[in-house]
Amino acid sequence: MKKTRFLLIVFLFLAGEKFSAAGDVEHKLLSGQKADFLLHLEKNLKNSRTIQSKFTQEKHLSLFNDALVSRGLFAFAAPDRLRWEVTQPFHLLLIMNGREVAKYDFPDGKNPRKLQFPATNALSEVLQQIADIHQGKFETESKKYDIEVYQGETARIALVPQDPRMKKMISQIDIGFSRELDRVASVVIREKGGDFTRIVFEDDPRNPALPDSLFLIQ
Amino acid sequence: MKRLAALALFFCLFVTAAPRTALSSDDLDEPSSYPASFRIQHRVTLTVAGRQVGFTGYLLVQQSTWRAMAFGEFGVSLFDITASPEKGRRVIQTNGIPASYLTRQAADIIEILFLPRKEKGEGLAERRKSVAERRVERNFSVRHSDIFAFEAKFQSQGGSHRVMNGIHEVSRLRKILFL
Repeated sequence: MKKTRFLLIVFLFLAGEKFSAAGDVEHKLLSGQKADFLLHLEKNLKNSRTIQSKFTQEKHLSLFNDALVSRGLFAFAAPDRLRWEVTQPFHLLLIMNGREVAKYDFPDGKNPRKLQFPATNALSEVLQQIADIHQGKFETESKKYDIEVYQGETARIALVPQDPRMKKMISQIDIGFSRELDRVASVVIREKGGDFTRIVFEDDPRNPALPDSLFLIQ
Repeated sequence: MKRLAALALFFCLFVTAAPRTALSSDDLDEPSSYPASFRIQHRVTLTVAGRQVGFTGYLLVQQSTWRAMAFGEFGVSLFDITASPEKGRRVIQTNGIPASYLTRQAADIIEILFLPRKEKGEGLAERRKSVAERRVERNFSVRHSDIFAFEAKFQSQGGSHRVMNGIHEVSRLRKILFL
């Protein structure tokens, strides 16, 4: 029995298969398959012109046995409007509207206070990246990341930073998709050392009507 | 990426810009009254010259040993520092922020805000014990934790709020997570 199990493991290894974090077997797509997959994915994701979803963000630190959890709301309207609102355990709001980006906190718990950014800020770049991912623009991302696609029960894209300085902070970003390949289901940001952040998006109806006020920067 | 590095450096400027005199414990409303062992999650906004940088901080205190971690909006680590009586202050990880700033000014801020004042001739552990007892009397709920086998854990009912003289503003402490 042990011998059979060993042979099975060897076989899976040789076949290029691996287990995803969720435990299901997945295999890496070859170059040609990958290109086709990314084209198909982009086409599917672009059908979602608007997205509104709740998200749960879990910070997993090797130091703690449990995850540190925050929750919030995410809204996106193609091509370049995005709202990222953390509602628990603290309140924080990020809005991207075209080239404009704003960040708010709620010092009294109710009224937003617009924060003044430092002269240089990476936030707009990060928000744009989130928008690109939800639109399947992985060609843009391939300039900054090495991209691999894994297919298991669901598909996963692994982005490995090319920039050595970024690699010091982030070892890999895993993007998980719905079975239908029509939405981003999760994002896992892996850090050197094993800590990671998992953001899981709830499955909400596609293309909801979103009021402009969601993306209003005041 | 350059922008990210610049942001980190800007953050350093904040830390550097915080004069040590501004961090005197006399500026605080009251001496720290946190329990002896606890973990907290808080949202921090640093403000200098009208501009703000915000991050999420996690602080773990076990008697006189502590560890502080800071993360950006999407969970990426900004820094991770620790201090203990045996080994002093050490940087476990930093993303562009010079270690010397973290072990001096940043660690000063943390100790002033969250650890009890050190009084002459008083052992820190002894002081912590009395703090813990006082918190229990104030009807804080106590839970057992499996993290580091802490003897007791506390959950804040109303949170706590500390403001530091307009240069560093630590936002309302939303919750003392205890688990």
